[in-house]
Amino acid sequence: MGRNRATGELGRCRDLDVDIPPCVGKLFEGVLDRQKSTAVSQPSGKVAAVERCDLHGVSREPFECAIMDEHDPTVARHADIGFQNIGSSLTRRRERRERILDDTVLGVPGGNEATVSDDSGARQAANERVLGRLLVHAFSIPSMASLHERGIRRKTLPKADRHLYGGDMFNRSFSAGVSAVLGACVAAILVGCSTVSGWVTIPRDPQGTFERVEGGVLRAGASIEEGLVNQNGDSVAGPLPNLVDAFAGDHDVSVTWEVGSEETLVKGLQLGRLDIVIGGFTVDTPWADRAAVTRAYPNIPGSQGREIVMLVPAGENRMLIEVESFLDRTVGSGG
Amino acid sequence: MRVIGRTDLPPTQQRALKQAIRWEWGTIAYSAVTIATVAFVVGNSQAMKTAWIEDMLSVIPQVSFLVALLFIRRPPTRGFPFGRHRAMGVGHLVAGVALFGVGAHLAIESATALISRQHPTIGSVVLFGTTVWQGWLMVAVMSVIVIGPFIYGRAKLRIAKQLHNKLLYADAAMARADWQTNVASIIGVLGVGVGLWWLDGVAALFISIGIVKDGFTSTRFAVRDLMDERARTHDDSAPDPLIWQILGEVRREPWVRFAGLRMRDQGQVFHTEVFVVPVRDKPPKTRDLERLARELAALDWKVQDIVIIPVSNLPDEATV
Repeated sequence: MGRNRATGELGRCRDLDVDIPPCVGKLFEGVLDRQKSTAVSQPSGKVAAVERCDLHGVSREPFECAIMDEHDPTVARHADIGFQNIGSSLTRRRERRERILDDTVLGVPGGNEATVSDDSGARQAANERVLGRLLVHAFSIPSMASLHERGIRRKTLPKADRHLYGGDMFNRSFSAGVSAVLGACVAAILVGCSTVSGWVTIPRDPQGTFERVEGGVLRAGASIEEGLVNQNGDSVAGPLPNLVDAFAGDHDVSVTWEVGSEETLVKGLQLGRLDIVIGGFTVDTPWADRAAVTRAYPNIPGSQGREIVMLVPAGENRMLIEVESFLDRTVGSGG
Repeated sequence: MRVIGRTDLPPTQQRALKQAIRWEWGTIAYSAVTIATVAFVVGNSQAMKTAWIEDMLSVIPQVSFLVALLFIRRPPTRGFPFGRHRAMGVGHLVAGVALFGVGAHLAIESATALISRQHPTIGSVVLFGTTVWQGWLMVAVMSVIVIGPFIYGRAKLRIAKQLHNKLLYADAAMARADWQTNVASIIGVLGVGVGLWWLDGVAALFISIGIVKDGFTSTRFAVRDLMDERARTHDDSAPDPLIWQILGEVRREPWVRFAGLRMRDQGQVFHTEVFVVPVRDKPPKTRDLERLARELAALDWKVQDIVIIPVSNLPDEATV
């Protein structure tokens, strides 16, 4: 990790200590006296060792241990050790203890690891610099989940520590936000439904086509298709116009007719000039992406086996299902 | 299944693997049913269509898990000296890329529909002789099928942890977020119902962004694993604790002066290279090395593939 080397590391330790206390425990503050630290002799008689440490609820998760020189804050050393070392081998094994202290010395003097080797002179010098009072901080690296439980988010961690958590794969704050938004949407819709005129029938037309039709006039378009829609002077006649007239009669409204080509009529639907268009449209009509198409009705007289549909403005769902349920009643749903 | 690669699975993991296989098949069956059901009601709603396609996509991780399983159970050979554990990572990557691609396509489609102000048309169907608005059916279907992911998502999350399987984890995490898709599509349809035509497109956009996000995270983590990132926990939240456990174990040896390691996740199992600087530069006995390797392998079922390398200086990247 290369963390045990340079000066900047100390700041990191302090940050950790200050900013996220829940996952940090001060493991040890240079308390051991000389008798217990058989590892290194030193003038001050104080040395980092771990016999007396109290883990203060630091979990059994592995942790990293930072050993710092209190007098020289530019010096810091991470001893990366696991819980087991503290608990068992460190206390039991002298060799191990020696080594940890070696490590401590090793990394400390400006990270000059070359001095470590077996050159006892250099080592002695290093010892003397380091061993004054040592602070030992230990922090576990808890799982993201346990951080979440304590209300800590990755983005609230000090920048230097975020790498420990490469990012929660699917973080929960996103989910929480999403739930809130979705909840708000549902509420908004329900409120929208219940205002204005109490419980509104669903579906409604975004453009209010059906409401306008109920106001008095159904503007129908017809494209001539012999047998289904026949020219009759200025007006039209035939099975399909009859159905439209009956539909209008059902709702007590009058019908105005516009006769034209399919494209003109579909354009009329799109522009809101027409409410319904009839003609030789079948279930495979290519106008399906410009207009709302009713279900197919094969039982219409004169259709000669074709599955006839009618067109209403796209997305005007109330209008659509009013026409469909009328056709279901009068000519049967076919199927 | 008792063995994956050279690893003998402990009883807990054997059980978990069996359960995982059962849950994955179960999920596939469930998804097949929901896909078929939704097909009947999908209609013209963009949100429903997006949710439907997401249902189809959600099968990819399960299929790639089951396929990868066929590979990783084989022992290492001369041709594949590390075993074929990476199959899991490849599956993860494939699933991620597929999600990302299709999600992006759907997002663009929904956005285009919104911008061009296409009003979604949802008509009626005849149900038992009465004419019913199709939107009600959509809402009904979506609220019924929302239940499944809650059940199998939870189960798979637990198993993924036991098996240290990231593909399974991603699958479970996606299932857990699945309810959002259903709720969003319901909102979209109801929105159309009350005359807010744009709510359908917004819901579709929301769902497809969710798919893109899943795809992106899956791809990212799969790529990082395939690039031999340091081993991390099954949910990628932290470096795997085994790193410290193993180092602690190694440093406890009297003949070890310094130790470091490189550990990578091959998908389910780890490959570990331990570097040791022996005390007084004396070469360690092969007997000691072998015993240590055995002891380390006994720490966890995931670390069967261990190499111990005596060196005079630790490589930088191996120091933890």
